Amino acid sequence: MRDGWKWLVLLALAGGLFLADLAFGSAPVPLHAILDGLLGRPIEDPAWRTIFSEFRLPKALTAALAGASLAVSGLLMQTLFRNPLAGPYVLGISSGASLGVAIAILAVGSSGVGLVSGLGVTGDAAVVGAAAAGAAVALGLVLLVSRRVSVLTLLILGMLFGYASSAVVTILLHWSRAERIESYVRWTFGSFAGVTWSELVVLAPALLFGLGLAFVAAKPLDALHLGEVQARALGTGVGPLRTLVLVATALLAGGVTAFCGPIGFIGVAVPHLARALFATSEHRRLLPATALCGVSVALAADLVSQLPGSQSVLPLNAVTAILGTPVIAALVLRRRLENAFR
Amino acid sequence: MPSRSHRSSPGRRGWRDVFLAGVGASILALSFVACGPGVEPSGPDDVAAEGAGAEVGGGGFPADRGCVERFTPGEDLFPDKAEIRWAKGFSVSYHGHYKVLEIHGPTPTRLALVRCGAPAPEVEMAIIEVPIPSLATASTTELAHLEALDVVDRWVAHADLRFVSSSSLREVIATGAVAEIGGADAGHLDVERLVQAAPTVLFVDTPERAQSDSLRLLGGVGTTVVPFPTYLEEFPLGRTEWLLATSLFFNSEARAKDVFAEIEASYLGLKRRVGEEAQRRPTVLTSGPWQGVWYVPAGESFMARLLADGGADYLWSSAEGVGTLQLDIEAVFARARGADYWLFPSHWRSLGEIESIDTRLTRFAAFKSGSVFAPDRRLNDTGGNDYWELGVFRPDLVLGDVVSVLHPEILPDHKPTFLRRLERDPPP
Repeated sequence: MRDGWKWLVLLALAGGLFLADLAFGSAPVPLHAILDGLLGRPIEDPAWRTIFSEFRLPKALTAALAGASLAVSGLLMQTLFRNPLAGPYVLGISSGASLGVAIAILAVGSSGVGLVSGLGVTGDAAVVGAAAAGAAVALGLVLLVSRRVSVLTLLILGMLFGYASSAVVTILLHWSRAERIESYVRWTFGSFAGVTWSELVVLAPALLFGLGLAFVAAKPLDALHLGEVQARALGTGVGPLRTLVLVATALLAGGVTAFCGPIGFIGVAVPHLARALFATSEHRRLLPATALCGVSVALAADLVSQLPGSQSVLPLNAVTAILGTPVIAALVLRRRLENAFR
Repeated sequence: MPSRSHRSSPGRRGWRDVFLAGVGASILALSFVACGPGVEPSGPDDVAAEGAGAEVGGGGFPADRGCVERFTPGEDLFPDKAEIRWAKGFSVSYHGHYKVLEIHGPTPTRLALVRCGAPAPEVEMAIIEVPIPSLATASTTELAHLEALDVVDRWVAHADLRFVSSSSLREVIATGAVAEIGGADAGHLDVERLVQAAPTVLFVDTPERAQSDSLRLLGGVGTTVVPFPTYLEEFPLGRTEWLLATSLFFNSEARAKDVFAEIEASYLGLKRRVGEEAQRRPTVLTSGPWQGVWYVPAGESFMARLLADGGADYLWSSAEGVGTLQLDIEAVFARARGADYWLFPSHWRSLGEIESIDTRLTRFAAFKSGSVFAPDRRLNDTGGNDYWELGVFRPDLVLGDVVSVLHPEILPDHKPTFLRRLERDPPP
């Protein structure tokens, strides 16, 4: 297999970062305890046991899955729209999710009944539900029109939906008390650490199914990459493929956003990283490469955002962008971006 | 979460009257006096009421404001002077016929408060004639001052009327005397309504509000915006001491000093008893996580000091700073999993709610033993929590609650004002 060593390096990197994310965190847990946990041996200290099994393991799994999902959905969108700037959120999924969360935190929280709380912060479950509902509404609208319009129109509609929902969010923010605005803003920072096992058993199957759909679509995506007209000429069923891609993206991006907040950068940038590394636009190779790069980038970002050795945390979204930008800019500058989209 | 953010909660009202019965006699008397317009203000300390027969009726402004009729240069027109011991957010200096209030913090401001009837001093700062005829407030944290200083009849506007807890203030609101300048749950103040209410001064809590462009327009209609960042105070008594800052506007420093001295004595007395009698210092955890991040009060914060004074071993007491630490939930678990008590836990009202937020929270020893206490005994039915109104002004009451939880042997007959042990289900 061509580029065998690259795959090895990528796999080793992803695996190594996964282990590092388990081993290093805010609380000092000795490596031998982590090793015991990984090997399925009992960890003697109950605190270490809980930290390993209920804090670090779900967080690392969430980061890995979310990284792969965002990167793959970004790649799907870039291919579908033949646009290097596309990402998981071009369809308005993140806008929809943000709107849902804004309504849950800002509007429902202020009505004085039900979910409300003094702080105006609703429960995590309510936030997840609201984000998922918002993303689903956005996706529903997209799917409703997708058969009738061109991909370019879809792109514009997604953008318009984004503007409209952010306008509503602005109005909600304008009417809200400072502490609720703060809660909402903190949600937009993104985080893998808030996902517990009970949430992961919902999130993981959805993301794995979405990734599966993406891999099923890998070969026909190569045809789509040439453009819908050419794809049709090559005998690819463009309509069903488009629906498949949209559903996969919705599951991947919508799922991650609902549980972790709107995590930017990874979805747009990581596909370029994969293209630069493998110099290919063949999806059967690009998809797994993108997924693996996504895993590594998300885990690395999580590691840094936890600031190992300190108890503090940085906002995840800031870390992904600050760390990732120079790396990917360098790669993209070396390999001309536009070649991939000719 | 930063402490200024907790100001409201849903619930019920009516506790104030119950509570009043239990408070010290002098405070009780003051509260009665402050029960609204129509009650004659008492006390020789009240400059507004000094002189010709003290009139306050129907919410109008007294005919005699306590203005000087004949001004003699060099005369000291403020015999009762405020001295600040705890608060770091403001200072005051006296200059014969005017005093200078200096507000520190994010929006530093200097104001010359000149005794009405005396000439305006030649200073480069905003000049306000005191006592002022009217004021507007933007936060519940200063509302207790109005009652303590018996100036409820000067209160013409407030941001979120729904969150006002005090029953006597709610009675005033019911008469329609107080304009709502925040609208429903607003982060922004309604400038047009403010212009209509035309308060002499507007106390604002946050720098965002103090610096808002629209409020600058108020200068044109004679309203001075005064930053009142009480939430930045590091000492519980520092927050209470802002009562003296309010009193400067009414020349009622003497009265403010009396009230403050009483609260201070009550707080420090309790603190001393804890120091002498507490057998051990239980470990305490506070606040709660949001999206995997736990916003923990730093070691020099208001909350850390209150807990230390209440005989707690606050687990982050050595963390430097007066603000909030953003900690990884894992780090909080590692340090606080065995904590004896979990006090002021975010906004939650039942153990079931905490479990539904994050099952990992049930791993804390304080959760397992049911030692979680939240300050939600005094909620009104429109979202206000008196903890963010009376509690800010009366840290002695909050301290009493903390002590009764941590050291029940010191206050065996204590009736809690704010803190309530969380049950499996929320209260009805």
